[in-house]
Amino acid sequence: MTDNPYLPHIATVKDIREETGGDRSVRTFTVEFNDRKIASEFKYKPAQLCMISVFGRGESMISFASSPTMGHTLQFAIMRMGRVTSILHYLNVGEKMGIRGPYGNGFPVDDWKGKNLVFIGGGIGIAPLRSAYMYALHNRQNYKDITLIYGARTSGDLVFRDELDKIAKSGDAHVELSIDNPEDSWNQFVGFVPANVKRIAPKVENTVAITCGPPIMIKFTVKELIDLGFPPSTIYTTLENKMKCGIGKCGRCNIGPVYVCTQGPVFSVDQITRLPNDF
Amino acid sequence: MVAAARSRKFLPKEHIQNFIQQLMSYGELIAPKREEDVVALRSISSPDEIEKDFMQTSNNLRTVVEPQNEILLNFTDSLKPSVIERLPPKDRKIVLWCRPCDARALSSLDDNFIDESIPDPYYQRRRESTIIIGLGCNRPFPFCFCGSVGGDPFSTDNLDILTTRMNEGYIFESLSKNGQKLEEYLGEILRDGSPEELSEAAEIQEKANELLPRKAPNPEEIVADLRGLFDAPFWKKWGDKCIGCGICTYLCPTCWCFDMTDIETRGKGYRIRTWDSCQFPLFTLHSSGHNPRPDKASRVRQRVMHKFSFHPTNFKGRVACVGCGRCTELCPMDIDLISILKDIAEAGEQ
Repeated sequence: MTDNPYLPHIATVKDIREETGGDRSVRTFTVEFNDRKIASEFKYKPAQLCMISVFGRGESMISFASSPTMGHTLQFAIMRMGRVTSILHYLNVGEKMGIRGPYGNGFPVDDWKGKNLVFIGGGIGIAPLRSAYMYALHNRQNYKDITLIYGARTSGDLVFRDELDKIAKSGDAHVELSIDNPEDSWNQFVGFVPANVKRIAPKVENTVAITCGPPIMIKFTVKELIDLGFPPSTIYTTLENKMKCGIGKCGRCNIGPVYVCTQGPVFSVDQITRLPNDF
Repeated sequence: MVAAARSRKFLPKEHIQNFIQQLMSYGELIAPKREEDVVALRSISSPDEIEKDFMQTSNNLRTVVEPQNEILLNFTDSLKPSVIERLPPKDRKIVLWCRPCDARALSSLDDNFIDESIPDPYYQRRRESTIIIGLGCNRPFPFCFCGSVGGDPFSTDNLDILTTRMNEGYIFESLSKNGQKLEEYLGEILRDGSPEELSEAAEIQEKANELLPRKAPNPEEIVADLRGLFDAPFWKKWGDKCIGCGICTYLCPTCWCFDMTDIETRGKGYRIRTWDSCQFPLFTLHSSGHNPRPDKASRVRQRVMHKFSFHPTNFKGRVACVGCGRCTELCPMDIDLISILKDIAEAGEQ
């Protein structure tokens, strides 16, 4: 091991799952560090971040989609968006990527013990939420009711669909899915995620709400939650910004004096209202 | 400010050539060099290259401790990669005749790169292997305002040696262990300063403060004001004037922002670090198309607020500006930092 914070560790792709199709397709990569010592010593918290390298192409900051309770393999659900994530989608099982991290604060899952958890996701925003709800489901006895509210534009854009169906069947969590427009075989809610939140109206008492998705969805979801009576300190979300270093040095992910890569990406709405309007 | 405990020697004019040669044998020498219209800190291969008559070097110590481009890592092959770190050598470097404000700027860079939690090994190696010989400013330059941001024309912050230019040579004051070692190495090139020479130097230093041409509003008051001024209308005024060229950030001695990119040629890959600028829209552009700083007003605000509010908030009140005046002097649109600070001070009073 070296103390060079820019040095990625090499990991091998063990599995690739095609989650959604289209121009902005999502694939879940299951990877494992080549070095056994690093693999066994690597510790992370739900929704922390990793800088993923495609050598010769660059790096991209991606949040964990896996929970630390899921063993030595790590999972990242990656949407094909920019230069690096597009190239990532060409990787095959057995090929290598670089990983450095973990970065950021992650969700305060220990503080949430004994509470009801309501996860509200939109599109690829489900990835960091999955990191936390898989953790909570693994430690099911530590939490009260768990509700997963998740929506995407179409049924084909729902990431982790099969797994969510299984969770619903297991009865460990209450799962509510939605799509933006009607489809023939769809028998669940049709409409935007914030509207589904309003309809479901999760109870406020002893509850933490965690939301992640496109900025506009987060904005209106938070509004609905506040209208339902959730105090801002009980609503958590993750902020994203362009990042290069991951260690608070390259100077671009700040919102005022706060660096998202080191002090985020998880913030309570209470904290966010104190930040300058620069995100 | 003249501390009594300092060792103060005199470097006579006739020994300058010898002095420079000794420095070149002590390590890699970086000194002011004339390149057409500008004088810049450059690696020196012959004593004649050094420019002795200059006001301010166009570049500053950032180029020494955080080069404009550097290779961080090598990759052997993208399919079966192995990663090799490319730390800079620990070879000694001597910077001759750095202006005191540029040396003070290192405190802000140190805050960022060698904070206790995750030190940057590339920066740290360069910083630790660099000896800095300052040259006080007998006559400050038209855009200077170091006195308003905690400095002065003979500040000793981060210097190993301070020199004061006089008619017959230089007063030479060692300020650190590294400075003392170099002083010993130089031996008889230096002689003790006479009481007359020392009092003449003290006079020059005192007078320089009075000659400072510009004064900025008190930064401590600005820091307090800025927090409430995020949406103030004057940001748009300055943003409209700005053309987004980024020269203010490229020449600023306290700017450090960087980009990291990969290049690959014939199976060999490099991860390189290059300077970047908060004045460029791509700096913060998300792959989704969203940009948290979408206009010039928000980018000018980021530059000014980072130096006068965010940095002091995060690093014990230290303002990340040393008053060198480069951003103002070289702005093609005459955007004057002091005028922005005055807008802030005025808005804060209301």
